[in-house]
Amino acid sequence: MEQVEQALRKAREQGQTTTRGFFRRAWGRGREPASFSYTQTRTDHLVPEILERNRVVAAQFQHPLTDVYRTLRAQVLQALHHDGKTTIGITSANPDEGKTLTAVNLAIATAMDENKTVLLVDADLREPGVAACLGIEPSYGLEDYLTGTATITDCLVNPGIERLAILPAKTRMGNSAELLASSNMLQLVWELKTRYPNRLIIYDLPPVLTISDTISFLPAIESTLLVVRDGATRTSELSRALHLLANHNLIGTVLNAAQ
Amino acid sequence: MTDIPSDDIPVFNDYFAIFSRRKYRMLLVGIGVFCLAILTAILWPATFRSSATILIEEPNAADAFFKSNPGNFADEQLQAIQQRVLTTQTLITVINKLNLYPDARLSQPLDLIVDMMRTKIHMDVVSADAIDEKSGRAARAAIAFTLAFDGNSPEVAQQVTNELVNLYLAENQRSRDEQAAATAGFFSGESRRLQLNMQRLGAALGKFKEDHAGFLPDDQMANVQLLDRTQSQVLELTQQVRALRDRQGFLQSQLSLTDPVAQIRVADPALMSPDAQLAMLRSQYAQASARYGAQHPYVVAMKRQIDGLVAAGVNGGSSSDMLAAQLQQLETQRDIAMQRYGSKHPDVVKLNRQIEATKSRLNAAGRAGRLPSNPVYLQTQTQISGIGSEINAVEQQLREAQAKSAEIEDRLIKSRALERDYEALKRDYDAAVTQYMAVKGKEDEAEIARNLEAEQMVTKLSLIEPPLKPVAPIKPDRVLLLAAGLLMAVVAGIGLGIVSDLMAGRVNGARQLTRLAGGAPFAVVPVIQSQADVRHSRVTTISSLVLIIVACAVVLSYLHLFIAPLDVIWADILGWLGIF
Repeated sequence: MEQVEQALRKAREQGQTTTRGFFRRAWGRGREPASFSYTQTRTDHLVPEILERNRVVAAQFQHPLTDVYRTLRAQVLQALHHDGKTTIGITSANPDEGKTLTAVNLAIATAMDENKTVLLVDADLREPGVAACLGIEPSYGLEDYLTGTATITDCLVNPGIERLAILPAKTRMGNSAELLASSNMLQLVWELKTRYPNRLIIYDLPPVLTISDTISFLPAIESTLLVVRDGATRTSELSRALHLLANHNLIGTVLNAAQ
Repeated sequence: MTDIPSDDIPVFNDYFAIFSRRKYRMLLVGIGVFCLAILTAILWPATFRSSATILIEEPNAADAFFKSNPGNFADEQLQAIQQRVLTTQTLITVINKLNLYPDARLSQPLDLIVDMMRTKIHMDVVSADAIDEKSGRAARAAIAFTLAFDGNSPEVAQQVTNELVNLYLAENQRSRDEQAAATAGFFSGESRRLQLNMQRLGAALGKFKEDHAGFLPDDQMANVQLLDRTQSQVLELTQQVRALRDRQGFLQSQLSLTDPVAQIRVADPALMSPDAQLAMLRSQYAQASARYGAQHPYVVAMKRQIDGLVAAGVNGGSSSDMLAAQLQQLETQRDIAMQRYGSKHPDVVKLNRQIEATKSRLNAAGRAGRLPSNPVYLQTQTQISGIGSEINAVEQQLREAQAKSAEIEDRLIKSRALERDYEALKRDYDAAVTQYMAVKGKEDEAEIARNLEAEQMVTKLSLIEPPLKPVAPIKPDRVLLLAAGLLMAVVAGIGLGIVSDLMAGRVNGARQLTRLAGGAPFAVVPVIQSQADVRHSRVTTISSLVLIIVACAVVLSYLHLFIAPLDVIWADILGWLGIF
C-alpha cells in the first residue's frame, strides 16, 4: 500500500508529465511499441477508499488477504511459466461469482512483483466491471477499439500502479458475443501477446455458461482460470463449466468468498 | 482436472460446515417452530378429569351354590353395563340435565356431541391376581374400576362423573335383579316343560306295561322260572298218568278174572242175611218157576217167602236186579208160550206187554242187566273207576300245564320282540327324569339366588371414592408440550438446513471443489469484508439488540401496567405450566 500511496501521491504532485515517465518504466521497460503512444495513455488516480470498498485488497500490504492473492499469483505464474504462456482468461460459471475481483486482485498482485508487467483486459463486454471495480472512469473502452471509434492507445488506462495497465470496457454491449468473436478482437489478442512476450495479459472473460460465444473466444487465450463462489455456484454448473473449459487449458480454480 | 467425481456424499465435517453455513436460517426456522409450539401450548384448551373408584364387592355368602352368575364379575360384565349406560339416549339425558356443551349444541347435531362425549368417558379396571375357582388356573380378577370424565372445567368434570357413577350403580342393580329373575324364570319354565315331558313318557311307559303285561322284558326271568316249573310239572303229571294207567290195566285184568256175581255158598240160610236170603230165594224162585211153572206149590211157597221178605223191607239187592230177574223170567215164559201158542196168542201178547213194562221199569230203574254182587269184583271195579277218574283229573292237569307252558314260551318270544321298544321307552323316561331332577335342582338354586339378590347378598358395585373436583388439568402437559416444541424446533431447524443445503446442490468448501474439479483450487479466498461491511454488520447487530430490548421492555411494561403485575403473571405462568 505504501507503494501505491506513494505513487498516488507522486502522481498528484507531479501531474501528467511525471505520470507518463512512471508508466514508461512500467510499460515494457523502455521498449515501446510503435503503435502505442504512451504520451496519450490516460492515467487515472486510484482512490484507496474506493479500492477498499470494492475489496481490491492486493495492493494493501497490511491486509491479511494480500497473501492469498500472492499465493494465487505464484501458482498461476508457475503454471504459465511451465508452458511458456503469457495470457490467461479468468471466468466463472455464472455472473457475480467474483471473477472480476479475482482478475483485478491477481493483476495488482502480479504487478507488485518487480519482474512482471501486467495488462488487464476487460473482455466481459456485456457486464464490464473492471473500471468500476478500480473506481476509474475511462474515456474509451475496448468496445470503442473494436468498433473502430478509438485506437488502442485511447483505450489504455494507467491506474497509477507500476507495471500495471488496464484495457477497460466502458459500456454494456448487446452484441458482446459477436464483438468478442470478431476478427478485430482476435487480432488484438494476438498482437498483445506477440508484441510484449514478457508481459502477463489477464482477460476478464464473460461467464462461460451465460455467454455462449465465450467458448468461441477461448481458443485465442492460452490458459483459463475458473472462479467458483463458495455456496453459490451449483455443483451441476461447476461440472458443466469444467466440461466446457476442459479443452481450453484450464489450469486451475479459485474458491472465492469462502465461508 | 477433467475428471468429475460422481460421489457427493456428505460426511460429518460437511454437516458441521452446513451447520455453520446455514446457522441463521436454521435459527430462524427453529425459532419459528418453537413459537408455533408456544402458541399451541397457550391455545390448547385445558382438560380436567374427575374420577371415581367403584369397588366390585363379592357376596358375603359367596360360594359356588349361591353364585347367581356362573363365572366372576369380570370385564365383560362391566363392559355390558357400560354399553347400556353409554347409550345415546342416556347421554343426551345427562347432557340436558347438566347443560353440557352449550356452544357445540347450537352448531352440531346431538349425535356428534354424544359421540364426542363418549370418548371423554374412561373406565379402567383394577385387577388382581386370583385363582379361578372352577378351572383352578391363575386369572385376573377385577376387584375395582375407576370411572372418569374429562371436562373443560373442574365443575363439569365432577358433575358428569358423579352422574355416571349413579347410572352405573343403578344399572348394575337393575341388571342383576333382572338377571336373577330371568334365570329363575327360565329354570322354572324349563322344569315345567321337563315335568310334562316326564309325565308323558311315564304314561306311555305305563300303558306299554299294561298292554304287554307278562311280556315285558322285566318279567322274563320270572317267565323262564315259571316255564321251568311248568315243564317239570308236565313231566311229573305225564309220569303220574302213565303209572295210573298201568295200575288201571292191572286192575282191569284182575277184574276180568273175577266173577261179578258172588257164588253164594251158604249151608244154613238162617245164617244168611235177609238180603242174601232174598237174593237166594229169588234165584231159586227163578229156577223153580222155570222148572215147575208158576203154579207149582213150591214155587208158590217160594213166592210167598219172597213177598214176605220184601214186605219185611228186605231188599234183596237192588230193585233193578229184581226187575232184571223178572224180565228174564217173563221172557222165558213168553218164549215158552210162543213156542206153544204162537206169537198171536193173547198170553204171548200179554207176556210181551209185561216184558215191555218190565223193561221200561228196568230202564227207569237206571240199570239193566244184573248187578255184580261179588265184593271183590265190586271193589276192584270201584278201584278201577277211582283210578279212571284220577287219570282224568291228572290228564286235565297235564293239559293245563302244557297249555300254560306253551303260553309262557309264547310270552318269552314276544317279550324279545318288545324288548327294543320297551328299552327305548324306558330310556327316554329315565333321561327325562334325570333332566327334570337336574333342572329342578337348578330352579331351586336360582330361586334361592333371587331371594339372596333381594337381600344384597350377591356381587354388587359400591362407590368407595366419590368423584372430586379436580384441581389441575390433566391435559395438556404444557411443559412437555414446550419441551417437545423445543426439540421439534431444533430438529426442524437442523433438518431443514441440511435438506435445503443438499437440495441446493451448491459448491461448498474447498474440499468439495477439489473433489469436483479433480484438483485443489489455486487459492481459497475468504469473504473480503470492507470496512463498510464491518460497520454495517456492527450497526445491524447493535440496532437489532436495541430493538429487541426495547420491544421486550415495551411488552413487559404494557403487561405490567395494563394487564397484571409481572410477578402475578409469572406466578400464573408457573401455575399454567403445572409448576408451583
